[in-house]
Amino acid sequence: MEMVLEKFKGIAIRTLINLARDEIIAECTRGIVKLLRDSSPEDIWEYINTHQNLMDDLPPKWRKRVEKLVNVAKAKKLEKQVIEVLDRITVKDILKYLYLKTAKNLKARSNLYFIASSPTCMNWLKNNLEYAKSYFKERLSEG
Amino acid sequence: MKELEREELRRARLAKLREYRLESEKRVRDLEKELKSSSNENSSASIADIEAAKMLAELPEEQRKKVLAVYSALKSAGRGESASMLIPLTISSVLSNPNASVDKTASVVLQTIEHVNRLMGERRESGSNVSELIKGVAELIREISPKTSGGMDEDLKEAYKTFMRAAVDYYMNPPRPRTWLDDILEDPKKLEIVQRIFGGGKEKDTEYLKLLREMKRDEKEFQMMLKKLDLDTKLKLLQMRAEAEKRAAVERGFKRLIAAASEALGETGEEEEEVEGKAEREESVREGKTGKPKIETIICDECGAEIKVAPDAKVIVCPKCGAKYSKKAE
Repeated sequence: MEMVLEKFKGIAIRTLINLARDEIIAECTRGIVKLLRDSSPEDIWEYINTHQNLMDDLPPKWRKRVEKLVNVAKAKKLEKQVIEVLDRITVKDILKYLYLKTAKNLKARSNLYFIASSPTCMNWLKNNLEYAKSYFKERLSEG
Repeated sequence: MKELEREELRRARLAKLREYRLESEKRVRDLEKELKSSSNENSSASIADIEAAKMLAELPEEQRKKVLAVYSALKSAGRGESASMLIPLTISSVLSNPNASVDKTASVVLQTIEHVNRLMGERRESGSNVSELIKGVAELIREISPKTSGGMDEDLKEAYKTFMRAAVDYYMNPPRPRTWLDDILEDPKKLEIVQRIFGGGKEKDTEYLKLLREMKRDEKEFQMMLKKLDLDTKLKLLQMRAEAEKRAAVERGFKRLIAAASEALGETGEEEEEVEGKAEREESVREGKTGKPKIETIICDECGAEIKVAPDAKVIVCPKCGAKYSKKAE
């Protein structure tokens, strides 16, 4: 019985972590998806060159969600596991998420290719991911 | 129209039945005439003769021919027995040993007649009808013992016993030539259908027609169901194939995107250097005549789609068809 419970607990934790992972990726990319859908390549180029950090520009609604996610992870005492998951997230994961999110929008897909082909944009994406990661880590490590 | 067709069918079947009955009667009459003319002593046919003729008429063609051949042989050998005596015994002999030749059958019949005459004595004279004769023979079979059956050789004794039993069986269950009617009578399903058709009453016909219609409808429904099942399977297969193709296309597109991104990241080198480089680029863009970034547009050679090219891009991938271009070559 204990073993079964242990197994269920393991599954629940894994599910939670996977959800957290998806949520984190979604949070990290939410601003970019909007940018891809609504902007022209020129605007994107301009935005990337003027807004270095996406997390700073997060609207209050999304910021609340991030806080909620951090609080859930803390309440479930899964900080360590979430941090491990965060470390494993790469730019590829972000690109995959964006690729799937832009499946039905040719303009957004073209913009995504535009970003992927540009070293400047890719570095901006990479930097933002690192920044988001460190932000989450910091928030999770807080007492 | 269907009503008429059914009526015609019924009439045709009735006519066929009538024809069969008339043919049988005619055959019997012919045989009776034949027997009358072949008989030396009896100018008029007895009841036993007619019974014998009927038995002969109902035999299958081949066996009847053989019986008649044996009968003719016996008559030409000068046997004076009546048809009522000779024909049942010949029939029994032919049936008990169908592969025997005419000569052998005739010889068995002759010996039997002599033996029966000896055993029956006066009884034969008194009994002039086939059933009585056969009953008498059946009784005699029980009395036969090696002692009483003296005068017969061993082979003939065995043959005699066999065909006497066959004679009794034959009398009790006389064989009839098989017809399509026998098939119908033996098969309950066919019989039921015939009864439904000829059983009389429009009510039964309607029932039968309803049953037929239902059967037809059921068959149609079954065929439709099979077709539906087949189409459903095909649809599922096509959907699965489409799904797989879609997944493969997504995978291909994503791989192209990743390749482009890797190339872009590989080209830029260290992050800090890139930030500097980007700043310079930004500066240069801002210093442009229009004050806006210079984004080129190229047309894909493969699909004709417009591709926006980032100012610092080295490798460009068409978002529509995945064609790859190098900016240096442009």
